[in-house]
Amino acid sequence: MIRAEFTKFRSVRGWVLGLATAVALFVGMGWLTAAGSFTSCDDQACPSPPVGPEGQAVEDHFGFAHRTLTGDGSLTARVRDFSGIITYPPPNHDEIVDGLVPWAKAGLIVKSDINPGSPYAAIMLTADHGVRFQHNYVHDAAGPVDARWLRISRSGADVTAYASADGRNWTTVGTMSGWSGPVRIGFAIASPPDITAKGNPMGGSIVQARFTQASAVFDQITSTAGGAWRYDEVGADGLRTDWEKLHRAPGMTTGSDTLTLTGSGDIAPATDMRVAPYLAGALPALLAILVVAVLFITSEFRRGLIRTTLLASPHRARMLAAKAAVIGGVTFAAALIAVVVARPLVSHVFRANGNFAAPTGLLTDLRLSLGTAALLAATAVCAYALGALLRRGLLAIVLAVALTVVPYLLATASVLPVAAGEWLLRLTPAAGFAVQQAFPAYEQVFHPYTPADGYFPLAPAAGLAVTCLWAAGLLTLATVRLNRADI
Amino acid sequence: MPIPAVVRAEWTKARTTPDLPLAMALTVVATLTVAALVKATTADTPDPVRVGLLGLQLGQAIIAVAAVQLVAGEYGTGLIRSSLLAVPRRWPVLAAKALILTAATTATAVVSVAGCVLLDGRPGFPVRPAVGSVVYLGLVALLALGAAATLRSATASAGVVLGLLFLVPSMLRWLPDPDWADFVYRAGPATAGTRIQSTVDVDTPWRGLAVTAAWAVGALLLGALTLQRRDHG
Repeated sequence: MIRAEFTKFRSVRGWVLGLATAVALFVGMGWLTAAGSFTSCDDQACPSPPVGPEGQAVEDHFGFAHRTLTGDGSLTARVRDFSGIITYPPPNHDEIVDGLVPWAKAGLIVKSDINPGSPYAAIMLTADHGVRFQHNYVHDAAGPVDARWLRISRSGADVTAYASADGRNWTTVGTMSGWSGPVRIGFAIASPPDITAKGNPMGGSIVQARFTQASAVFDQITSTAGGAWRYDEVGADGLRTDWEKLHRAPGMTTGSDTLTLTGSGDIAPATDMRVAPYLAGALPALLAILVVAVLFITSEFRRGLIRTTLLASPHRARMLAAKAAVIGGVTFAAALIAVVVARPLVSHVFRANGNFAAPTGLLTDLRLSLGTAALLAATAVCAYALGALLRRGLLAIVLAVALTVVPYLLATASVLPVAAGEWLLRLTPAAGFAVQQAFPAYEQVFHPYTPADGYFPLAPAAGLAVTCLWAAGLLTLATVRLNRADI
Repeated sequence: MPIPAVVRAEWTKARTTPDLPLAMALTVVATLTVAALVKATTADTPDPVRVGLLGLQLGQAIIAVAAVQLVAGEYGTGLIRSSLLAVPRRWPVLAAKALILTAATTATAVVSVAGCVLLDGRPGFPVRPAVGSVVYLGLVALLALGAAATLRSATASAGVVLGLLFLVPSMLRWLPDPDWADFVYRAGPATAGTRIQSTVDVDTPWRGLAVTAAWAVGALLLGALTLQRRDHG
């Protein structure tokens, strides 16, 4: 029966043409997007952000006072003072105020070398989020909220971090293993920019970032690593703000039993990254696919072919399921072809225009590609089921668009308030677009994680499941109607 | 047939088939449903007026499809042959359809916008976004009518019109070049026209509506040309 339906599909020129249009739209739109993107830095190639040990593009810019630790050892210190400045914060943007941004951090770190992007483990006091144990840019674990005493120790391949409120009773906050050879151990200070975001009517958020600086005074220092403390500004770009030039330069000062560090930046996953836009064409392709999927069933009703079909295979539910399998399978295959063509082409054009495409890793790549194909297939089945349920092509197409394209548009165009948009992307078949989210939302970086910025409220698999549930539900309704109704 | 008679004939057609009245009712219901949902889920937003009129984003799709059906439906059933036999000059048919569609859309839009304003419940809802939205909806309907007269297939016309209304704005976020994005934003029929609803982006909003009007006029001219030139066997 599936073969019969497949023969029907491939012998109607308009449907095959429609599917080919979808593939062309997918590839073409991706190409157009990439061709329209240019990045240049004073007519040279822009420097790429560092890539962390786990493959992500990362931000690695901080003040580092360090010694070399060849074997086992530990460093203990208390954060006596932690303060800073924020330049020109809202609402008036007219003065520099004292204060720390929520994720400003000062603490102890073990890092393999002073190159940006190298492995590290750190126990840091943050301004608003207590003590955190972070390692390799993406991992973040909460420690005690009120602790000011920090300790980091290395034993063999393990680096373990502790925190304490009084310097006597210590809690273990986290361990990172896999260390070998000599490492740098020392103090770190970082203060990410002060961020405000507002919705852009053209989609996405307009993010404003303002310079901040933090200073920390460490005392009660016990270190097993010997020698003098050396200072480096990791990941320095050589630029200095007026504040740094005129008021307080970043750097280290050592007292008789204190060490003061001043600096800016962040040690975290990069969040304003773009993947090569080879998935940009999914939405235009979806529109073409919706039309084909609806017509695949409604034209049977319109031309009366359905009577012949049901005469040949009187089991109505099975007939509907067979057609659903064909339209889903054909769409999946076409979408996969589109992705396979678009990915290398679009990525090449995107990079050739000087843009940096954030690395995603093989698993994420597979999920983005297969997930998009599955999303298009599941949505096609939704549209097909609507066609079978309503039997009128135009009505079914409008409903299919209203259920999939419109919610996605409303949620991502920054028109709708974020919370309402997120509900649309939880409940409607557009939830499946969650498979296109390339990076997780990192709690330890302040960033507008809205649908308009490409962050979805559901996990990829959960989003796709919502779309599939819609497809299954609509298909059930269509089956019930077909079983009951006269043709 | 004199023009008033053509208009009356088209009026009879529009009123006796369920499509247009149904679409008008659906538009009001859909618009107000979205408006109520938005009202329930929204606490604080930078542009409450625009958000209050958000339901029209869905309503415009229904109106557009009804406009497509008004013309393409005749091609689907072959009724167009009788229509053109009665009016050999042809273009008055399209003009009469445009007139009736404009009247129907305006009535629908007035009710929908009034409903949105009432649901919004704030005193002093600004006039420009409300009136502008009514005009915008009328222009979208005419754009869809013109597209259907040009393409003559209901499915293809609906695809093109809904693509213009919904795909163009959603592609903006994929255009990283701000100049491109800005051009598409100002040239797209939906993105340019709905700027009339904004109380934040108040830079030349009526010009945005003029862009939508240009789309509608262009589509109607193309449709009239197709009607005059092409064979309609």
